[in-house]
Amino acid sequence: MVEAVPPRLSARRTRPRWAVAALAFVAVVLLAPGAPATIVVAKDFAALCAEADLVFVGTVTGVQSRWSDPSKQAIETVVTFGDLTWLRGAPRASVALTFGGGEIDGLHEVVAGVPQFKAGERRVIFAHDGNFVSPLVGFDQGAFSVVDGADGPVVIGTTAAPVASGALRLGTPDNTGGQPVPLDAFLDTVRRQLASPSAGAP
Amino acid sequence: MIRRLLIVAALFTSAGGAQAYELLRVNHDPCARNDQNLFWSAATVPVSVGTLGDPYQGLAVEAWQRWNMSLARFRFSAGSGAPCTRDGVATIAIADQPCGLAAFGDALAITRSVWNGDGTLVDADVTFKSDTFVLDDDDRFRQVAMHELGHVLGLDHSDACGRSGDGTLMKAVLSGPVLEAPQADDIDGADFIYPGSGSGGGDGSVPEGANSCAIAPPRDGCPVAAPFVVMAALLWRRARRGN
Repeated sequence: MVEAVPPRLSARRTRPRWAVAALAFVAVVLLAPGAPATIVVAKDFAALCAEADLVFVGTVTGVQSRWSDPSKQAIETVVTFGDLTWLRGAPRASVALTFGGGEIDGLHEVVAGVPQFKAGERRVIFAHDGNFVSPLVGFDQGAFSVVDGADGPVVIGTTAAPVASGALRLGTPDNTGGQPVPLDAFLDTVRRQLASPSAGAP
Repeated sequence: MIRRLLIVAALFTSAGGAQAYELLRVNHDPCARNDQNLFWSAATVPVSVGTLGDPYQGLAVEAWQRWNMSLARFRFSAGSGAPCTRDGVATIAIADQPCGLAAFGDALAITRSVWNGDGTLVDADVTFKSDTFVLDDDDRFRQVAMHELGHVLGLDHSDACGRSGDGTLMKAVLSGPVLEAPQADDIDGADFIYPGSGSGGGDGSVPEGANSCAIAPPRDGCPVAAPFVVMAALLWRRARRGN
């Protein structure tokens, strides 16, 4: 025999099930990974480490623009780093990376998204070894600023300001929350990831 | 309790993140809001698509036409020019290497913009990487073309300075559905550079929240979860009726 359930009781029993299902669906959609990137390919922390030929911490010692072609139609900028701590790549005293865009004789060229560097800045760099418009892994995602924190140097996002955009690209958004990370702790995490690659770190 | 959770979820999804356009600026830093933004002095630029084959030529034309339909003053027009020359024509091309530069790296398409010290743009060219999935998807190609044309007219990435940029055409790393047209935030940025009358330019500053999602939601970007909120509400009603 099937027992009839009073409507109010039935509604009460059903409400949480449907509501929870709806909430779960909304949550799943919201938290699902994004579709493939269009303009640049999104890189998580594991990808940054896996794809980088060069990983180092360095201070920008020079920024020099030059023509990149004989017909002088395009400009490129050579950024030189010194005071290096190497995490991947053959250690050397200095390293130069070339980026599209720059300034020569009052004529400026920019490739949107190419990061800018200033002498004296300290950065953690994940880069490809070769000639690219931006050699950074993920175009602009493989450059993190190092600034002085209250208890020593800290790593912040790819932009000059201590905002979340760059840091949010490192790992999953909730892992960093855009908060500065002590440089030593950051480098330890990178070393561990380089030593034994695993998805989803840090 | 569940009702409260639903209300919170609805508020969360419909509010979206505050967004604001960013502009290309003279010192290469979109976040330096006091710096002059880049602009075309005539508020127009011809676009050359002659090197593109089918169907990309038609899609690229649709891209600049959709910008034109959205903007108050700035206009793209049909033009003819050579790729990678400072001819004042925005040439859209597909190539293994972008103009005079090294390999693409992890970019799928790039725009190189050239300007004088006062911020006056003199040339901008767009190059699509020749071996990406973008070329296999008409809608995605059109969307990326619109994005790059946004750079051509003077917009930078909407997520360049810490904002999420979600739902905007000008986000550097885009997730979510294909966008069929410039969104409200993108249009606000372009109209700021090229106001309805007067010369282009301006100081480039963006009033905080003036073009945020809450005031001018993009057509199908910012409240991207709105359909799901509606669905949740319908499910809720169904639950209340006890099936």
